[in-house]
Amino acid sequence: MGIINGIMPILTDSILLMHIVIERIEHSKSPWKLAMTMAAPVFLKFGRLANVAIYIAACIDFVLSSVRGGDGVPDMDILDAAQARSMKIASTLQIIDNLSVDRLLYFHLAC
Amino acid sequence: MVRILRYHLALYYLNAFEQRRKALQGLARCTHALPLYSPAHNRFSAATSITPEGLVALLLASAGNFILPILLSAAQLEASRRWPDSDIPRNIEQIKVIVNIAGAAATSIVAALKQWRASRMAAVGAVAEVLRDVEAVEADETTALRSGQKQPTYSKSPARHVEVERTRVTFDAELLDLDMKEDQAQMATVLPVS
Repeated sequence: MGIINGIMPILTDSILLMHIVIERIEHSKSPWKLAMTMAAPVFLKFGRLANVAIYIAACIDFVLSSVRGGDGVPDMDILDAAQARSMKIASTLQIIDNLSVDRLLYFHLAC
Repeated sequence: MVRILRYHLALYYLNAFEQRRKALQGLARCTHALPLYSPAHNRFSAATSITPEGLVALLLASAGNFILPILLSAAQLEASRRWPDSDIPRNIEQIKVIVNIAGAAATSIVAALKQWRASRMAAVGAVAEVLRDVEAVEADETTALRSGQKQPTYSKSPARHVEVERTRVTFDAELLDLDMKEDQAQMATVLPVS
């Protein structure tokens, strides 16, 4: 559930960004300027994906910790720490990402 | 005289053929979807834009897609800082996911509806263009027929009148003969058998 909750906002924000990119391609006169404008949201998406990948790796580590310990009890500290860290990073990156895309939308209207 | 007539007739047929070709191209255009994101069709770009028109629609779209997720993310950060052991941050995250999905779905549906409306407008425009072309071709044909019905001014001499009529008949017979010869040549072409 935590993995799905981490992936779905990235997916929906990517769909919105795709719509905006398609719309900007129509109006943009310089590909270089368009790429510079769209670079920040795209890189932020990759950063959020990397964060989810790190969280998935921590979940795998959590599952494997029960095998490594030999007693069949997984180490809950690994999962708790990974969840707290992933949640903070994901929320911060999503705030910056949504702000940048929102600025793109209003910048398009202002131009 | 016959050469001049033949030249004008050929010009007329070429003109009519060109107009029919344009009309058929317009008909073909309306049966195919227009390239939506081509700069050549900028007149439809406003209709396909996902940017809402009007302040209320803009605020709603911006709030559903960006502002509400930003506020929920900030609330999630604050809740995880204040109550790290509670389920409040996870509940906020689930609400945020639902809001994100609803916003993206609404935006996609609006974009699809605008695209469909733009396609309909393009099809209607193409049909109107075809109708205009067909009317132009029909008007040209009518004008040509009327000009063809106009009686030539013959000389008063009956021998001259008969001579001109014979020339016209000969001209038409030559055209018929030419068409028949072309048809026969096409039918007599032997296709290579592999």
